Amino acid sequence: MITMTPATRAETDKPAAPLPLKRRAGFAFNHVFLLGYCAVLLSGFVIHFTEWEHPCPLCVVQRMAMMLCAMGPAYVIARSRVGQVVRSDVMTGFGMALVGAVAGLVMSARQVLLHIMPPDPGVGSTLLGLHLYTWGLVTFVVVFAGCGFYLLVSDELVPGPVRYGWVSRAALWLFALVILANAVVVFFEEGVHWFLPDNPVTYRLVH
Amino acid sequence: METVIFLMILGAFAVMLRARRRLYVIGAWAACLVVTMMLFEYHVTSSLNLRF
Repeated sequence: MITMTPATRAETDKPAAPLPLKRRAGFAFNHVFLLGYCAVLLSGFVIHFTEWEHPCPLCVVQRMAMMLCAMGPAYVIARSRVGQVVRSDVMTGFGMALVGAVAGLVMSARQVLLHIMPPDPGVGSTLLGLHLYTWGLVTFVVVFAGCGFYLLVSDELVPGPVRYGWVSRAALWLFALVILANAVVVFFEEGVHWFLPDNPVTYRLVH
Repeated sequence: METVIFLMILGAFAVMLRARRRLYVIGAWAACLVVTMMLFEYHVTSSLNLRF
């Protein structure tokens, strides 16, 4: 049996030293990354349901690449549930993000190049003058830049013993819901066929 | 197939939350990446009419 002397009690009651700001910033970066991609994927739904533009197959594969990219920061956040987030966790997460970004960049570059020759007006509506697939390409380039800067100073930014709080839980739940919502919407578009048509204009499940 | 792949990605995310071994996480994620690239290849039906 362990007896608590006043000295040991004082030691236990002492609050844990706060985590350095850099480590908290490193953990926060992963949340911003994940929530940023959730916002991009949700904005696709906004365009879909306000302009009634059904996403084409190339848009859908770019959404998949965005999810594969966002799995990187999601992995880093998820590791904080079971203990310290160490350097190898961060490397694995950012490896996933970078490879996912390469895949997404290939896909969005292909779609940009399909419509690059004048007088091709492009496909679908624009946001701030750019088509959505061009915004997709921009997001993948931003991932490269963000991951590059993070890795430059990753020694200081490895989160370590961070707390898995409600923000982390909410971010992971939101990401899961975004993936599920995409599955449901694409199922309505695809119906009981194996693949989406090249130019989807209706919900084949109900038509 | 698109629906199946989204569900695969959701499954890989669940593996990420549950699995203790990194290899399982990377394996599930890599499987999703491969099928996504195969789907992309399926939907690329023509070559680009461009000269570089």
